Amino acid sequence: MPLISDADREVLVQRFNDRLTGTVTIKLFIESAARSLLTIPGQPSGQASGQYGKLTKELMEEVTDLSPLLHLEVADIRGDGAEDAARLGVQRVPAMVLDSESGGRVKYYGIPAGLEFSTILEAIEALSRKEPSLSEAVAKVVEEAIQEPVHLQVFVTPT
Amino acid sequence: MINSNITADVVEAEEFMDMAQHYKVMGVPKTVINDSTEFVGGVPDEYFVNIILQTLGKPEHEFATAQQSELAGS
Repeated sequence: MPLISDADREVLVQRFNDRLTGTVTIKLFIESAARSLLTIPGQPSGQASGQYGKLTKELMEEVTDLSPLLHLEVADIRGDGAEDAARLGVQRVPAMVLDSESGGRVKYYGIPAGLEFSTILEAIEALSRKEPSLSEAVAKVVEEAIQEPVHLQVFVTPT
Repeated sequence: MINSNITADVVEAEEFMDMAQHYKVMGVPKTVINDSTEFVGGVPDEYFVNIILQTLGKPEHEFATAQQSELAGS
């Protein structure tokens, strides 16, 4: 059974048609099921992270199927995706790298479920249009005043 | 998107409990800047930029209020 209902699917197709202008490639790193039976102390159990990975993959497959401008690449962090994951600084799964072309500056760790589903949609749309949601004044300061690396981590929950 | 010096991670706190514990996440959304400055909740963009500038040890930017910019524009 699909995760996105037919009614929601229709709304999303329309929304993407209206708002997407450029292609967005999403790189999703997961851990293959066989390996994820391993449990590493201090980390979420391998089985749980494998389950989240599977669900995230299903969800993002459904999302990216709704527009020809959206592409999903799925890779195993311990297999075919190991090199890419290291290059993009991905150490945990499931992880989505939203602008892998420009060096992977936006990453989403975990499943974008519940309220966070709209966060991921907005991020995809902003990247597709190459339009930030900041006002001109704020964008100008961000562009000009920051020359050193800034790493933002935002913790969220799906509810 | 505007400045390539800036990277952003969104972390689902329930799935990555160890990280949430490390950064002592008690409420969401919680934002951590360069592992040093942190705040909980949503803030206006102007305020957010100034927290980043503060973290970098730079002077804050004085944004014109909506009213002031309206006056300036007229």
